[in-house]
Amino acid sequence: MGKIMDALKNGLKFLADVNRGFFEGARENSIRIVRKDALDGNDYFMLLCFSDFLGIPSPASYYTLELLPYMAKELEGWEMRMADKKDILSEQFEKFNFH
Amino acid sequence: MPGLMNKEIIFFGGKGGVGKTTCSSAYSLNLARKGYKTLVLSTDPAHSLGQIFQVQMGDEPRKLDANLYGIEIDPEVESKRYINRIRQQMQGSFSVNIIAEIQRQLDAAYHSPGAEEAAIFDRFIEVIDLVGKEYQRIVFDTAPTGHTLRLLSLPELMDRWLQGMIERRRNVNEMMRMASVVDKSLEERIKDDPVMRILLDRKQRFEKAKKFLIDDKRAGFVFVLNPQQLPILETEKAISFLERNGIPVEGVIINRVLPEKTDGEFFKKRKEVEDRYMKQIEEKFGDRILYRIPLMEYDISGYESIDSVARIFG
Repeated sequence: MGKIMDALKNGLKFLADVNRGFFEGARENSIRIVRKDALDGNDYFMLLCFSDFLGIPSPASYYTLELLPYMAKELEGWEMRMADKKDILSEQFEKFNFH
Repeated sequence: MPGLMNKEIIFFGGKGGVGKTTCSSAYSLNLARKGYKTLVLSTDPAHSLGQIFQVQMGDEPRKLDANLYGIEIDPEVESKRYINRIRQQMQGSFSVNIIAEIQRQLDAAYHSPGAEEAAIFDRFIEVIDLVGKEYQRIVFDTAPTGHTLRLLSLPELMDRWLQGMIERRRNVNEMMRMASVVDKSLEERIKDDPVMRILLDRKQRFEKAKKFLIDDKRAGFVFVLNPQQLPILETEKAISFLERNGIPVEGVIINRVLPEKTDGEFFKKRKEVEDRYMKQIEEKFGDRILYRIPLMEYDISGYESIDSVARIFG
């Protein structure tokens, strides 16, 4: 009797784990998408601030200079990403694990 | 014109060469005589205020008379101050590449389009903050019309630009907050976001300037023109531009009017031409004509001659 109960318990626990794993995975995946969107959004924000670094004049460029001390760390990576925008599709696929 | 005297801030505008500096110097000398502590300030990058008062003027107030101080805004001094402040804040631990890149950008910033205007406007915001505190009246000797209209439309343009940036930043921060569940480093990035703080602070300053410019109890615009065709047309256009933008226009000053009695055939004919333009001015501006200043037989340069015009305002 005890054995059957144990097996049943184990079975249920297994199902619960699978369930949790499935939903947590899904949740984590959606947060990863949000994270990617946030980083993309940040790239666009930097484009608004520092477009003239890429040669696109902006009326606000004088005023956004004072943001540099707080954003300089992100600048190098951003410039590289902006210079290498030819692979937009695969960048978007990255969100969905389509490797 | 007691109404005009009550305005804390008066701008003198008009086409190049009509006598803006003459009128603003004389007007501010008159205010100072009346007991108002007055600052007269030139926003024209090609200053002539110091030349009229025959003194060296610069970015810091210089005493001109008992109650009168003068500034010639120097956009280069202003932007140097701004950029040096940024340079000092940059002494963090950034990579050599980044530092070099930013140095290049900062060096280029002096010559970027709009930098001069932006620097003048920054100083302008600083100065209007002094009215009611350091000074009772501020008189602006502005640059020729086109330059000044662009300067005055800057807060509107920048306000919209900043609004877009603030919204985007807010949006990004919100997404980062959500994503920080899986990436703790994001949490650090959005805490007391200094970028957001700076953007909001900028926006607030632009809004303040905008509010001041359209406040007809405190500020007003006076146009100087000559009885000639082009100044009349330009003034008409400028007034309609300002009114469309809600900036109060006090009226016009007609400068360099020929005397009634002129010697010789040449001036008699010239006076007839002028009369036609005077009539046009009457038709177009009517009760907005504040003063008529005669053409003098001497140059307006130096204290005595400014004083002779100031008496007309008295």
